[in-house]
Amino acid sequence: MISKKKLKFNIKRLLNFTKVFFRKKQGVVGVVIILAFLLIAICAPLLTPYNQLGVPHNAPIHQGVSSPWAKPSWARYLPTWLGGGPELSENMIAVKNPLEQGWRYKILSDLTNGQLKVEPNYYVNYPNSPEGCIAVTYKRNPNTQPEGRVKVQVESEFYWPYSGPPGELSGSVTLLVNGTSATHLFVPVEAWVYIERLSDGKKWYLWPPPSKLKGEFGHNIEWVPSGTQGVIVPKGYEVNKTVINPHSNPPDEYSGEVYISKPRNGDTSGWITTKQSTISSSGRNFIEREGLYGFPNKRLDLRTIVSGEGNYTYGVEMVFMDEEIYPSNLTLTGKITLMGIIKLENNETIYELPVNLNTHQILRLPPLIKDGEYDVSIKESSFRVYKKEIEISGKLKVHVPNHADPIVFPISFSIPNQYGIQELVTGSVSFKDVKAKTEVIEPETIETIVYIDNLSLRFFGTCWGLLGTDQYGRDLFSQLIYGTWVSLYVGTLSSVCSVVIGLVVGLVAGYSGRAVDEILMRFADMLLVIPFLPLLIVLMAVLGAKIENLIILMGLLGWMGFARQVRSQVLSLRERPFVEAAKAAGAGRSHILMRHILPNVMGLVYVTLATSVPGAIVAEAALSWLGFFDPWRMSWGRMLHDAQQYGLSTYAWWWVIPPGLCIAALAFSFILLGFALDEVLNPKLRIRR
Amino acid sequence: MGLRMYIVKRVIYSIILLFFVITLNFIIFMLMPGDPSSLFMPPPGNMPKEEYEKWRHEIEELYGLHEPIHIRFYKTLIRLLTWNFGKSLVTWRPVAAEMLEKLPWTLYLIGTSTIISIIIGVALGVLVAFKRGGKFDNIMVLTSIVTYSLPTFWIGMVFILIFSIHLGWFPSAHGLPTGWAINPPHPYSIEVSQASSGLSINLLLTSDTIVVIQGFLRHSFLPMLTLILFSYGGWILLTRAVMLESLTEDYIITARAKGVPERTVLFKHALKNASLPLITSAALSFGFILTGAIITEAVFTYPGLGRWVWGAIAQRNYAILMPIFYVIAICVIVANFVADLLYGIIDPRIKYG
Repeated sequence: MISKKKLKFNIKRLLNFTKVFFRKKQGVVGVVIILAFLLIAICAPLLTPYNQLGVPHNAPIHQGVSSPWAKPSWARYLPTWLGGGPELSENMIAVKNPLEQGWRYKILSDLTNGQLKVEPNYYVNYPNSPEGCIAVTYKRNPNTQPEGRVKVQVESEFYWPYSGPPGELSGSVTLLVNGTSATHLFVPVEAWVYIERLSDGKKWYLWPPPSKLKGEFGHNIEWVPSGTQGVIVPKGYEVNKTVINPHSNPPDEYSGEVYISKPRNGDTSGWITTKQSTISSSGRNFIEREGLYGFPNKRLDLRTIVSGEGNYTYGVEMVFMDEEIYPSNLTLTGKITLMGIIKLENNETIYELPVNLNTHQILRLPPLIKDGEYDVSIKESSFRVYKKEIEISGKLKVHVPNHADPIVFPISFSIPNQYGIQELVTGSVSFKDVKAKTEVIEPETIETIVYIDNLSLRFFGTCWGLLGTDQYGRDLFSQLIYGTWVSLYVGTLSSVCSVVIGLVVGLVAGYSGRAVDEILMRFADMLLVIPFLPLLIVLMAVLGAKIENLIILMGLLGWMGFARQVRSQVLSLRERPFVEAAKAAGAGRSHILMRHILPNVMGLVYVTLATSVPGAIVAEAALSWLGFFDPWRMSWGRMLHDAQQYGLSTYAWWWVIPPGLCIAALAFSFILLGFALDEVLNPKLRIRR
Repeated sequence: MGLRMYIVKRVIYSIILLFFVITLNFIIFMLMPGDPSSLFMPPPGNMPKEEYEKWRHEIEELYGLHEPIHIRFYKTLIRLLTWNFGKSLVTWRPVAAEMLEKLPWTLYLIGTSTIISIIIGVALGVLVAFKRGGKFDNIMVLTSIVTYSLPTFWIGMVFILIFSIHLGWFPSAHGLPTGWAINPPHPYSIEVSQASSGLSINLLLTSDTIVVIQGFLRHSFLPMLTLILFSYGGWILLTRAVMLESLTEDYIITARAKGVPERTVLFKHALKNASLPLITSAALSFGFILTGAIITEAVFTYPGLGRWVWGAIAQRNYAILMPIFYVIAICVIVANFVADLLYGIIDPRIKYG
């Protein structure tokens, strides 16, 4: 219970101290800067709505707020030698919902028997499409001749207002293909998404991007939900992969076609979705100076597509493949011999492996038998080498033969051996005495409808926000704001840690006997000899780059200098008359230490609290810069780490300068505060470094 | 107690320190997570099986991985004392040889810049102390504090931004032009050291000297400037402090009263007497020659020890980290020892003990 008088005295003392302190100009400046940074750190979520770290690394959708390496918005008004230019573009949503914005279609084939209708569709049982979609319907009487390939385009026009290209585009489309019967789609569809430049009629196909999709989409695909947003895609095809990595090596190529067909048996509709496919204009951010960076420029480049101001269209081109290939079921029965070689994956031993399947096997081949790869599984084979019974499943490469000939299929699959390691088996399957039965399914009606939904296109500009973006398109300004907290946190807390340890050690060493003093001080000397930064780095490598670890380590490694100061102070204080008086009055050791010596050292404590913060801040920044940063937090040092790798060569000085200035300003303000406190609290001592 | 006794005492103290450093080193690497044999072994995929086994055996012998802990400690002690550092996990070359290869670069870079910043700092410090209280004093003190609180790597980055990216005057990385690895400046046979990520120093001896020296200096200019800018402020502040102290001594007043010219007072009387802490802290600063390089060399990818250490940390190359940590500590211990000795020898007022 503090008495009223004491409280009053304390308040008065505090007020008096503030009055004296605020007479020091440097102290006021220091305090103001520190408070400003503190305010920024606390209000970070209010100051910037964007996430410091962006969307997680492997997200399929665009990570940042704009394209990577976007310059600050004010760079438009900068001269070119400062990295600016009037051609910089902002983010823009070019095509949002064609039904509202206006759309048009073109039928590019002559039709004699078939009918093609393109119309808005508001009432179909179509999930996730409350605002409606566009339905493209192809219809033909089954008794008439097939039309062959029927081509149609559905597109929407937009205007690009900037003189320069965008940094990145991100488009999406959802296509739903609806066929006639429950098991078979009689008219498969191919689809591409394109951008056309209206000024010279040039056209670029953006999607489907990876060429490996080619041919994967036949019938009998297993459709599985993909990890993101419950989209159903063919097996082996991930939505993630539609994001084209502009920095992949070799770059992804933009070719390929996609057959869109039915998903599973019994399902009447099939999805093929790309949520977003991203294209980056390559090389644009790399200033062309000799010997800096060569950049592979093979891929589709936005600079050539949306090259400047003008009208463009964005749309889907579809080809209805109305050909006389009908789905069929094929059943093969006969004696099967497997000839194979087992190749162990780890070392290079090869085993010859004749495999005889004694029982009659039935291979069920896909209904539509075409050249291609099919999944196959055979049970009850007898392997001589490892196992008696095993289930083989693998991919059959099928070349459709004349059924009278013996059929030889190359086969490759992997089986686990007795160690559980997958081994690759390559060989061939040959059929003898094959009885083949084929039943062709005749269509009753031929009608394929394609619903086009979510046709949208977004451009990410080459400039954004207050400080632009980093190499992932994340907002640099947010990073700067959130970094404040890390520096303040690490700086103050580790300073507190080291000062507390130093105070305790110094008091104990100074006031206890010679032996303890000697041991403690020798230990401090030894720690002083060991180089700080390498030790910190090695220990961080051991303990892991967590921010709390860093604080503790810096506390444990930074107390020695202060302990020495406290010790010398205590040594002189214990000889003073007032201590002697207290001793004479019968005060105990701990009483003298706590009530008489400690208050006299507190001035030193406050000063060191302030002056040891800058070192901690710079050390944290240096460690982050060297790569030992907390992956879940953005700090100024980490910003500079990224800038060193990605920003320097692009001349992104707006990325390099601000974090460094912030570090310097914060460190400097603590130094000023420390000096001011020193002058106020220790007028006699003048302890300066 | 005489000087000899004092030296003996310092030697004993240094030996204890060395023992302490080795113990700490041992403890740190003992605490490392993971199997110790995997800590000092490269991933097995990189080499043939027999060689891998052979090497593993060698390493187990060297580090005593299967021995009880006291024998392991003894082995570590002997190994470090006999300079037997083992092989780098990345290049598979002896660590000591690799260290020697990098050493000249760092010695040159840090040594030169330390000397230059001491000269600049002391000269300016004397000047500032002479004109104390004036505008010049305030400005110099302020700028030294500011440059002292700037992070080194950031200064380096700004220099790269201005002088090499924007103006294109100086190269931003490496110790010598990288093109020389393929196209040396003179058609002599030049040994190119792949491991040093630059060219080896004997390039200087064999090819067109002027061109080589020019390239060498151009590449070391920015790192050196960074280091000087980082450290001169501390020297100014230190010199100013000790000068102010000695300028208030009685013998200065006496000298002035005698009519000794101001310059003589400043340099002969004041600086000479104030030089003691300067000399000792110069000696101490050479002890940190290897540490000071880590960040600067990382910024400029300068092929010295600092960058090597940084690379070792990034690659978790513990076989390098352990000895380098030890060598750095030895440098500091030696520098401390030298500083102590200097203190004892220069200042006759010191009572040893």
